Amino acid sequence: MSTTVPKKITLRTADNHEFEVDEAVAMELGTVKTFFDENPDATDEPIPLPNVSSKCLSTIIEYCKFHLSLRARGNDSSSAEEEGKVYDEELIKTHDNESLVELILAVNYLNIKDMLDTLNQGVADRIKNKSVEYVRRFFGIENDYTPEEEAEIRAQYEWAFEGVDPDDD
Amino acid sequence: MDITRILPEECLCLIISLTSPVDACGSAMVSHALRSVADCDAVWEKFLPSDYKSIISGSSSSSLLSPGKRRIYIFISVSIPFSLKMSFQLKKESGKKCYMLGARALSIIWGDTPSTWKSLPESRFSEVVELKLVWWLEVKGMIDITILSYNTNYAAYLVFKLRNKRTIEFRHRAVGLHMSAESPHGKCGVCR
Repeated sequence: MSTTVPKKITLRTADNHEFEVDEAVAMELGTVKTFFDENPDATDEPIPLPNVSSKCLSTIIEYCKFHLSLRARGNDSSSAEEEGKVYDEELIKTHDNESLVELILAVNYLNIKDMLDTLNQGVADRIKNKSVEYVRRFFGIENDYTPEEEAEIRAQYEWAFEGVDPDDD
Repeated sequence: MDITRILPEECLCLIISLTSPVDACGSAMVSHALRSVADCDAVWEKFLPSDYKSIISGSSSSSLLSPGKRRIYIFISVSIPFSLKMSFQLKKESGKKCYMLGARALSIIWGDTPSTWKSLPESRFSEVVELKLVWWLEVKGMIDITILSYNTNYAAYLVFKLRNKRTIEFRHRAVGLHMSAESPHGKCGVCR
């Protein structure tokens, strides 16, 4: 290996923005990595990411760069782990429900496991211990149960709510 | 924005499996689409303890057919007799394992005589010991801690029933608790 300049890879988003990133960063994106594994002779053409917006991709690239740099420091200290945690918390905090879902969609498509876990946990934390009505509003879901069905399901799931504190809203 | 139309099912599955069993049941009440996700085996498998299969086969109700992971969860979160001396329960909110030792698994001072073994309808065990006259009470029990859930604070409870109001001099006594953990290599921790 003689190269000193890291290889660059260009990614093109759905809204036609091009992002030039280091190969190491691009390889964090499972979908991109698989593409190169399967096409070792791929040219330097930009890689189209038709399911990812430029807003999402820039967040994702930032995330990958940051976590790569943490990993590069190795298991030197618990401070790297702590910094990673703080970064992830901040990432969740700065996204509202809708943009979080949009980001999950992109990360799921790009197959970045750690980031997906973090985002899924963020959504899970937002619906924990909440009422059914709250979860409906949160997820933008219409209640499509008839009153009869609802009563039947309530009876069926009653087991879960016996002896549990009432939902907060 | 209806999330069930946007996110793929495996993603929704992951999100719900990161909540709790009670939240999963709440999600099932949201809509048909979310119910099919919240009920799926992939979600409930996460809530079940990793050794749930051996728990079921070790219980005396091992004839359980496999009706889906959610059913299994419900089944083992109501107390199931594990053996005549021990019973098991999954704490339904958290999926943590609880074990109960029956009187037959404990060593109870005065437990030999003059006392009787009898059955009590409210007990989960087929036999309890009735102590008729005691000067003090000493109960010892042992449990293999490797069967407990990891990273979990446990509390130990002593369940007893006073026979009648004539039971005297019992309510206001100090209770001493002694706990120790032993490994094949000797004692590894003691607390009082």
